[in-house]
Amino acid sequence: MAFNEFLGCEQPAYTRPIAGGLGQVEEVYPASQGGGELRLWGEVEVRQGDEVLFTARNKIVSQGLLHAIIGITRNHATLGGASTYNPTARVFNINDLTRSWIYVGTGTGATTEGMTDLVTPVTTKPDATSTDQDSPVAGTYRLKFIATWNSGSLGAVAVEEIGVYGHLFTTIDSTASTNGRLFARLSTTDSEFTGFTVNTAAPLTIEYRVVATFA
Amino acid sequence: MNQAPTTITRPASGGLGALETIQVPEAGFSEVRGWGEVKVTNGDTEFRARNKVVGNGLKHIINMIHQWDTSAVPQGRFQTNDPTYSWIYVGRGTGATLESMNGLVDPITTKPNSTSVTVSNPGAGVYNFKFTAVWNSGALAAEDIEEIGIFGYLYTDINDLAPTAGAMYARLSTTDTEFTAFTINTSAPLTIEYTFTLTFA
Repeated sequence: MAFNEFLGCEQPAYTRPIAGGLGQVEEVYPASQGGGELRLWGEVEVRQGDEVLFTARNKIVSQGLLHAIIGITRNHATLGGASTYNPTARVFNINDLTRSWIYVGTGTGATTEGMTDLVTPVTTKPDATSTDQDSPVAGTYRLKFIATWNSGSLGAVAVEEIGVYGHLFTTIDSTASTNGRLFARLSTTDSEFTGFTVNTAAPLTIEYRVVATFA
Repeated sequence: MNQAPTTITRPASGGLGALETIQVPEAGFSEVRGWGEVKVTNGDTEFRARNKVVGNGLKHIINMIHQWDTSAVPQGRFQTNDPTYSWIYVGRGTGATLESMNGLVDPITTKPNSTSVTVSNPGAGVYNFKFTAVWNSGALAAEDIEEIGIFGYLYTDINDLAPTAGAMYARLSTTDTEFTAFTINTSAPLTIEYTFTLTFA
Protein backbone atom coordinates (compact mmCIF):
# COMPACT_ATOMS: atom_id res chain seq x y z
CA MET A 1 0.00 0.00 0.00
CA ALA A 2 1.37 3.40 -0.95
CA PHE A 3 2.04 5.80 1.90
CA ASN A 4 -0.53 8.27 0.66
CA GLU A 5 -3.15 5.50 0.59
CA PHE A 6 -2.18 4.54 4.15
CA LEU A 7 -2.80 8.11 5.19
CA GLY A 8 -6.06 8.23 3.29
CA CYS A 9 -4.84 10.87 0.84
CA GLU A 10 -6.58 10.94 -2.52
CA GLN A 11 -3.60 12.23 -4.44
CA PRO A 12 -0.26 10.52 -4.97
CA ALA A 13 2.60 11.91 -2.96
CA TYR A 14 5.38 13.88 -4.56
CA THR A 15 8.79 13.18 -3.13
CA ARG A 16 11.15 16.11 -2.88
CA PRO A 17 14.37 16.94 -1.07
CA ILE A 18 14.00 18.45 2.37
CA ALA A 19 15.31 22.01 2.46
CA GLY A 20 18.71 21.95 4.07
CA GLY A 21 18.34 18.21 4.62
CA LEU A 22 21.53 16.91 3.04
CA GLY A 23 19.88 14.26 0.89
CA GLN A 24 16.79 13.56 3.04
CA VAL A 25 13.47 13.56 1.24
CA GLU A 26 9.90 14.26 2.24
CA GLU A 27 6.53 13.56 0.68
CA VAL A 28 4.02 16.28 -0.11
CA TYR A 29 0.40 15.78 -1.08
CA PRO A 30 -1.17 18.11 -3.62
CA ALA A 31 -4.63 19.19 -2.56
CA SER A 32 -7.22 17.40 -4.65
CA GLN A 33 -9.66 20.30 -4.73
CA GLY A 34 -7.42 23.05 -6.01
CA GLY A 35 -5.29 25.26 -3.92
CA GLY A 36 -6.10 28.24 -1.73
CA GLU A 37 -2.37 28.57 -1.54
CA LEU A 38 0.29 27.57 -4.02
CA ARG A 39 3.67 26.14 -3.33
CA LEU A 40 6.59 26.75 -5.59
CA TRP A 41 9.93 25.22 -5.08
CA GLY A 42 13.07 24.26 -6.97
CA GLU A 43 15.28 21.27 -6.70
CA VAL A 44 18.42 20.08 -8.47
CA GLU A 45 19.84 16.74 -9.29
CA VAL A 46 23.58 16.70 -9.86
CA ARG A 47 25.06 13.86 -11.89
CA GLN A 48 28.65 13.26 -12.67
CA GLY A 49 28.89 10.74 -15.47
CA ASP A 50 26.27 8.14 -14.62
CA GLU A 51 26.55 8.78 -10.91
CA VAL A 52 23.96 10.89 -9.14
CA LEU A 53 25.90 12.97 -6.65
CA PHE A 54 22.88 14.42 -4.93
CA THR A 55 19.42 15.84 -5.26
CA ALA A 56 18.76 18.98 -3.24
CA ARG A 57 16.40 21.86 -2.71
CA ASN A 58 17.45 25.37 -3.62
CA LYS A 59 16.50 28.77 -2.35
CA ILE A 60 14.72 30.98 -4.80
CA VAL A 61 15.94 34.54 -4.61
CA SER A 62 14.04 37.76 -5.04
CA GLN A 63 14.61 37.95 -8.78
CA GLY A 64 13.07 34.52 -9.23
CA LEU A 65 10.00 35.42 -7.22
CA LEU A 66 9.56 38.66 -9.08
CA HIS A 67 9.89 36.96 -12.44
CA ALA A 68 7.21 34.46 -11.47
CA ILE A 69 4.69 37.09 -10.51
CA ILE A 70 5.39 39.17 -13.61
CA GLY A 71 5.30 36.09 -15.80
CA ILE A 72 1.81 35.35 -14.53
CA THR A 73 0.45 38.72 -15.51
CA ARG A 74 2.34 39.97 -18.50
CA ASN A 75 2.34 38.73 -22.02
CA HIS A 76 4.18 40.51 -24.77
CA ALA A 77 4.14 40.26 -28.51
CA THR A 78 7.40 41.09 -30.21
CA LEU A 79 6.93 43.95 -32.59
CA GLY A 80 10.15 43.54 -34.49
CA GLY A 81 12.87 42.28 -32.22
CA ALA A 82 13.75 40.94 -28.85
CA SER A 83 13.88 44.35 -27.26
CA THR A 84 10.53 45.68 -28.50
CA TYR A 85 7.40 44.68 -26.65
CA ASN A 86 3.72 45.41 -26.76
CA PRO A 87 2.75 46.42 -23.25
CA THR A 88 -0.97 46.02 -23.94
CA ALA A 89 -0.67 42.31 -24.74
CA ARG A 90 -0.88 41.12 -21.18
CA VAL A 91 -2.32 38.15 -19.41
CA PHE A 92 -4.65 40.39 -17.42
CA ASN A 93 -5.49 43.46 -19.45
CA ILE A 94 -6.66 47.01 -19.03
CA ASN A 95 -10.06 47.39 -20.66
CA ASP A 96 -9.56 44.59 -23.16
CA LEU A 97 -12.55 42.44 -22.43
CA THR A 98 -11.89 40.05 -25.27
CA ARG A 99 -8.83 38.75 -23.40
CA SER A 100 -9.49 38.94 -19.67
CA TRP A 101 -12.34 39.67 -17.31
CA ILE A 102 -14.02 38.66 -14.07
CA TYR A 103 -17.44 36.99 -13.93
CA VAL A 104 -19.77 36.57 -11.03
CA GLY A 105 -22.02 33.54 -11.01
CA THR A 106 -25.00 31.95 -9.35
CA GLY A 107 -23.75 28.37 -9.33
CA THR A 108 -22.75 26.37 -6.29
CA GLY A 109 -20.39 23.46 -5.75
CA ALA A 110 -16.78 23.20 -4.65
CA THR A 111 -13.97 24.34 -6.90
CA THR A 112 -12.11 21.46 -8.48
CA GLU A 113 -8.61 21.49 -9.93
CA GLY A 114 -9.86 20.75 -13.45
CA MET A 115 -12.54 23.43 -13.65
CA THR A 116 -12.45 25.63 -16.75
CA ASP A 117 -15.51 27.81 -16.11
CA LEU A 118 -17.95 28.93 -13.44
CA VAL A 119 -20.89 26.62 -12.78
CA THR A 120 -23.48 29.26 -13.73
CA PRO A 121 -21.73 32.43 -14.88
CA VAL A 122 -23.56 35.70 -15.31
CA THR A 123 -21.93 36.58 -18.61
CA THR A 124 -22.06 40.34 -18.23
CA LYS A 125 -18.49 41.54 -18.49
CA PRO A 126 -17.22 44.40 -16.35
CA ASP A 127 -17.48 47.93 -17.68
CA ALA A 128 -13.82 48.48 -16.92
CA THR A 129 -10.75 46.52 -15.87
CA SER A 130 -7.34 47.65 -14.72
CA THR A 131 -4.12 46.17 -13.41
CA ASP A 132 -1.51 47.21 -10.92
CA GLN A 133 1.45 45.58 -9.26
CA ASP A 134 3.42 46.37 -6.16
CA SER A 135 5.60 44.99 -3.42
CA PRO A 136 3.60 45.59 -0.22
CA VAL A 137 6.34 44.31 2.08
CA ALA A 138 9.88 43.11 1.53
CA GLY A 139 10.06 39.75 -0.20
CA THR A 140 6.45 39.82 -1.33
CA TYR A 141 5.06 40.76 -4.74
CA ARG A 142 1.48 41.38 -5.66
CA LEU A 143 -0.52 41.66 -8.85
CA LYS A 144 -3.93 43.32 -8.88
CA PHE A 145 -6.61 42.82 -11.52
CA ILE A 146 -9.57 45.09 -10.83
CA ALA A 147 -12.97 44.81 -12.49
CA THR A 148 -15.77 47.33 -12.11
CA TRP A 149 -19.38 47.08 -13.17
CA ASN A 150 -21.27 50.36 -13.25
CA SER A 151 -24.43 50.76 -11.22
CA GLY A 152 -27.19 48.76 -12.85
CA SER A 153 -24.95 46.87 -15.29
CA LEU A 154 -25.73 43.72 -13.37
CA GLY A 155 -29.17 42.76 -12.18
CA ALA A 156 -29.88 41.95 -8.54
CA VAL A 157 -28.01 38.69 -8.92
CA ALA A 158 -27.51 36.39 -5.91
CA VAL A 159 -23.79 35.78 -6.25
CA GLU A 160 -22.48 32.37 -5.16
CA GLU A 161 -19.23 32.17 -7.15
CA ILE A 162 -16.62 34.48 -8.71
CA GLY A 163 -14.27 33.60 -11.56
CA VAL A 164 -11.12 35.32 -12.80
CA TYR A 165 -10.35 34.86 -16.50
CA GLY A 166 -7.11 35.71 -18.28
CA HIS A 167 -5.20 35.29 -21.53
CA LEU A 168 -3.42 32.15 -20.39
CA PHE A 169 -0.92 29.59 -21.48
CA THR A 170 -2.74 26.43 -20.47
CA THR A 171 -1.09 23.67 -22.47
CA ILE A 172 2.11 22.16 -21.18
CA ASP A 173 5.10 23.09 -23.33
CA SER A 174 3.05 25.09 -25.80
CA THR A 175 3.52 28.74 -26.59
CA ALA A 176 -0.09 29.13 -27.76
CA SER A 177 -2.17 31.27 -25.41
CA THR A 178 -5.94 31.51 -25.21
CA ASN A 179 -8.29 34.37 -24.39
CA GLY A 180 -10.63 34.19 -21.43
CA ARG A 181 -9.48 31.06 -19.63
CA LEU A 182 -10.46 30.53 -16.00
CA PHE A 183 -7.49 31.28 -13.76
CA ALA A 184 -9.15 30.99 -10.37
CA ARG A 185 -12.54 30.66 -8.74
CA LEU A 186 -14.01 31.15 -5.30
CA SER A 187 -17.35 29.90 -4.09
CA THR A 188 -19.74 29.99 -1.20
CA THR A 189 -19.68 26.19 -1.18
CA ASP A 190 -16.02 26.28 -0.16
CA SER A 191 -16.87 28.81 2.59
CA GLU A 192 -14.72 31.39 0.85
CA PHE A 193 -17.39 34.07 1.07
CA THR A 194 -21.00 34.51 2.03
CA GLY A 195 -23.45 34.80 -0.84
CA PHE A 196 -24.59 38.33 -1.56
CA THR A 197 -27.09 40.05 -3.81
CA VAL A 198 -25.81 42.72 -6.16
CA ASN A 199 -26.98 46.18 -5.22
CA THR A 200 -28.00 47.62 -8.56
CA ALA A 201 -27.79 51.16 -7.25
CA ALA A 202 -24.03 50.99 -6.68
CA PRO A 203 -21.01 49.97 -8.74
CA LEU A 204 -19.59 46.53 -8.14
CA THR A 205 -15.79 46.32 -7.92
CA ILE A 206 -13.85 43.10 -7.63
CA GLU A 207 -10.12 43.40 -7.03
CA TYR A 208 -8.25 40.19 -7.53
CA ARG A 209 -4.74 39.94 -6.09
CA VAL A 210 -2.16 37.30 -6.74
CA VAL A 211 0.50 37.37 -4.08
CA ALA A 212 3.81 35.57 -4.15
CA THR A 213 6.03 35.23 -1.15
CA PHE A 214 8.37 32.75 0.40
CA ALA A 215 6.81 30.01 2.50
CA MET B 1 22.57 40.56 6.28
CA ASN B 2 19.07 39.16 5.93
CA GLN B 3 16.13 41.50 5.84
CA ALA B 4 13.96 41.84 8.91
CA PRO B 5 10.99 39.45 9.02
CA THR B 6 7.68 40.91 7.93
CA THR B 7 4.10 39.86 8.48
CA ILE B 8 1.18 39.77 6.06
CA THR B 9 -2.50 39.66 6.94
CA ARG B 10 -4.61 37.76 4.43
CA PRO B 11 -8.01 36.08 4.29
CA ALA B 12 -8.01 32.57 5.71
CA SER B 13 -8.88 29.97 3.09
CA GLY B 14 -12.52 29.04 3.52
CA GLY B 15 -12.69 31.37 6.49
CA LEU B 16 -15.75 33.48 5.67
CA GLY B 17 -13.99 36.75 6.29
CA ALA B 18 -11.59 35.55 8.96
CA LEU B 19 -8.06 36.79 8.59
CA GLU B 20 -4.80 35.11 9.36
CA THR B 21 -1.35 36.54 9.76
CA ILE B 22 1.67 34.86 8.28
CA GLN B 23 5.28 35.78 8.68
CA VAL B 24 7.67 35.98 5.77
CA PRO B 25 10.70 34.06 7.03
CA GLU B 26 13.86 35.97 7.66
CA ALA B 27 15.73 33.25 5.83
CA GLY B 28 14.65 29.89 4.49
CA PHE B 29 12.87 30.67 1.27
CA SER B 30 13.26 27.19 -0.20
CA GLU B 31 9.57 27.11 -0.87
CA VAL B 32 7.44 29.84 -2.39
CA ARG B 33 3.85 30.47 -1.44
CA GLY B 34 1.42 31.85 -3.96
CA TRP B 35 -2.19 32.68 -3.35
CA GLY B 36 -5.02 34.81 -4.68
CA GLU B 37 -7.50 36.91 -2.87
CA VAL B 38 -10.33 39.21 -3.87
CA LYS B 39 -11.71 42.38 -2.43
CA VAL B 40 -15.33 42.93 -3.34
CA THR B 41 -16.93 46.35 -3.02
CA ASN B 42 -20.60 46.93 -3.77
CA GLY B 43 -22.19 49.81 -1.93
CA ASP B 44 -22.21 48.72 1.69
CA THR B 45 -21.03 45.23 0.78
CA GLU B 46 -17.29 44.83 1.12
CA PHE B 47 -15.22 41.77 1.84
CA ARG B 48 -11.94 40.09 1.15
CA ALA B 49 -11.63 36.38 0.43
CA ARG B 50 -9.21 33.76 -0.72
CA ASN B 51 -9.78 31.88 -3.96
CA LYS B 52 -8.71 28.52 -5.25
CA VAL B 53 -6.44 28.55 -8.24
CA VAL B 54 -7.48 25.86 -10.72
CA GLY B 55 -5.45 23.67 -13.02
CA ASN B 56 -5.39 26.20 -15.86
CA GLY B 57 -3.88 28.76 -13.54
CA LEU B 58 -1.24 26.39 -12.30
CA LYS B 59 -0.21 25.36 -15.81
CA HIS B 60 -0.09 28.96 -16.90
CA ILE B 61 2.22 29.92 -14.07
CA ILE B 62 4.67 27.15 -14.76
CA ASN B 63 4.61 27.96 -18.47
CA MET B 64 5.10 31.66 -17.96
CA ILE B 65 8.08 31.14 -15.72
CA HIS B 66 9.99 29.31 -18.38
CA GLN B 67 8.67 30.42 -21.75
CA TRP B 68 6.96 33.19 -23.59
CA ASP B 69 5.25 34.08 -26.84
CA THR B 70 6.21 32.32 -30.09
CA SER B 71 6.96 35.68 -31.64
CA ALA B 72 9.40 36.64 -28.92
CA VAL B 73 13.11 36.21 -29.48
CA PRO B 74 14.35 34.31 -27.58
CA GLN B 75 11.24 32.34 -26.79
CA GLY B 76 12.24 30.83 -23.48
CA ARG B 77 13.09 32.07 -20.02
CA PHE B 78 15.44 29.10 -19.80
CA GLN B 79 16.96 28.21 -23.14
CA THR B 80 18.18 25.11 -24.94
CA ASN B 81 21.78 25.69 -25.97
CA ASP B 82 21.70 29.46 -25.85
CA PRO B 83 24.15 30.38 -23.08
CA THR B 84 23.80 34.08 -23.88
CA TYR B 85 20.47 34.10 -22.04
CA SER B 86 20.44 31.28 -19.49
CA TRP B 87 22.92 28.93 -17.86
CA ILE B 88 23.98 27.28 -14.63
CA TYR B 89 27.17 28.17 -12.80
CA VAL B 90 28.95 26.30 -10.07
CA GLY B 91 31.03 28.28 -7.59
CA ARG B 92 33.53 28.16 -4.77
CA GLY B 93 31.93 30.74 -2.52
CA THR B 94 30.33 30.12 0.85
CA GLY B 95 27.71 31.98 2.86
CA ALA B 96 23.95 31.63 3.16
CA THR B 97 21.67 32.54 0.27
CA LEU B 98 20.01 35.90 0.74
CA GLU B 99 16.72 36.96 -0.76
CA SER B 100 18.39 39.85 -2.56
CA MET B 101 21.31 37.94 -4.10
CA ASN B 102 21.78 38.31 -7.82
CA GLY B 103 24.97 36.33 -8.35
CA LEU B 104 27.08 33.59 -6.81
CA VAL B 105 29.64 34.57 -4.19
CA ASP B 106 32.58 33.15 -6.18
CA PRO B 107 31.34 31.78 -9.51
CA ILE B 108 33.38 29.69 -11.89
CA THR B 109 32.32 31.44 -15.06
CA THR B 110 32.68 28.49 -17.37
CA LYS B 111 29.30 28.02 -19.00
CA PRO B 112 27.90 24.55 -19.67
CA ASN B 113 28.66 22.93 -23.01
CA SER B 114 24.95 22.32 -23.49
CA THR B 115 21.62 23.07 -21.86
CA SER B 116 18.12 21.71 -22.42
CA VAL B 117 14.59 22.38 -21.18
CA THR B 118 11.57 20.13 -20.72
CA VAL B 119 8.16 20.65 -19.14
CA SER B 120 6.11 17.87 -17.61
CA ASN B 121 3.04 17.02 -15.56
CA PRO B 122 4.29 14.19 -13.33
CA GLY B 123 1.02 13.83 -11.41
CA ALA B 124 -2.39 15.40 -11.00
CA GLY B 125 -1.98 18.97 -9.83
CA VAL B 126 1.79 18.95 -10.21
CA TYR B 127 3.70 20.72 -12.97
CA ASN B 128 7.39 21.23 -13.39
CA PHE B 129 10.09 22.23 -15.79
CA LYS B 130 13.61 20.91 -15.94
CA PHE B 131 16.61 22.96 -16.99
CA THR B 132 19.58 20.68 -17.51
CA ALA B 133 23.17 21.81 -17.98
CA VAL B 134 26.03 19.55 -19.03
CA TRP B 135 29.76 20.26 -18.92
CA ASN B 136 31.90 17.86 -20.94
CA SER B 137 34.68 15.94 -19.24
CA GLY B 138 37.52 18.31 -18.54
CA ALA B 139 35.54 21.44 -19.28
CA LEU B 140 35.77 22.33 -15.58
CA ALA B 141 38.91 22.02 -13.50
CA ALA B 142 39.04 19.94 -10.29
CA GLU B 143 37.49 22.70 -8.19
CA ASP B 144 35.73 22.30 -4.84
CA ILE B 145 32.10 23.24 -5.37
CA GLU B 146 30.34 25.09 -2.55
CA GLU B 147 27.48 26.80 -4.42
CA ILE B 148 25.30 26.40 -7.53
CA GLY B 149 23.39 29.16 -9.30
CA ILE B 150 20.55 29.01 -11.85
CA PHE B 151 20.50 31.94 -14.29
CA GLY B 152 17.64 32.78 -16.69
CA TYR B 153 16.24 35.42 -19.01
CA LEU B 154 14.03 36.96 -16.34
CA TYR B 155 11.60 39.78 -15.72
CA THR B 156 13.11 41.27 -12.62
CA ASP B 157 11.60 44.76 -12.54
CA ILE B 158 8.04 44.89 -11.28
CA ASN B 159 7.18 47.81 -13.55
CA ASP B 160 9.23 46.97 -16.62
CA LEU B 161 8.49 44.56 -19.46
CA ALA B 162 12.12 44.21 -20.53
CA PRO B 163 13.71 40.92 -19.44
CA THR B 164 17.33 40.62 -18.37
CA ALA B 165 19.67 37.94 -19.71
CA GLY B 166 21.52 35.85 -17.15
CA ALA B 167 19.70 37.04 -14.02
CA MET B 168 20.07 34.68 -11.09
CA TYR B 169 16.88 32.78 -10.41
CA ALA B 170 17.98 30.54 -7.56
CA ARG B 171 21.01 29.40 -5.61
CA LEU B 172 21.91 26.56 -3.30
CA SER B 173 24.91 26.38 -1.03
CA THR B 174 26.79 24.17 1.35
CA THR B 175 26.44 26.86 4.00
CA ASP B 176 22.67 26.30 4.02
CA THR B 177 23.32 22.53 4.25
CA GLU B 178 21.61 22.02 0.93
CA PHE B 179 24.38 19.79 -0.32
CA THR B 180 27.82 18.56 0.69
CA ALA B 181 30.78 20.12 -1.10
CA PHE B 182 32.24 18.00 -3.88
CA THR B 183 35.25 18.17 -6.14
CA ILE B 184 34.81 18.11 -9.89
CA ASN B 185 35.92 14.84 -11.45
CA THR B 186 37.57 16.07 -14.62
CA SER B 187 37.38 12.68 -16.30
CA ALA B 188 33.56 12.62 -16.35
CA PRO B 189 30.87 14.99 -17.58
CA LEU B 190 29.09 17.13 -14.98
CA THR B 191 25.30 17.32 -15.31
CA ILE B 192 23.11 19.58 -13.22
CA GLU B 193 19.35 19.20 -13.66
CA TYR B 194 17.27 21.91 -12.11
CA THR B 195 13.58 21.12 -11.56
CA PHE B 196 11.13 23.83 -10.64
CA THR B 197 7.85 22.44 -9.39
CA LEU B 198 4.51 24.03 -8.76
CA THR B 199 1.67 22.40 -6.93
CA PHE B 200 -1.17 23.21 -4.59
CA ALA B 201 -0.17 23.60 -0.98
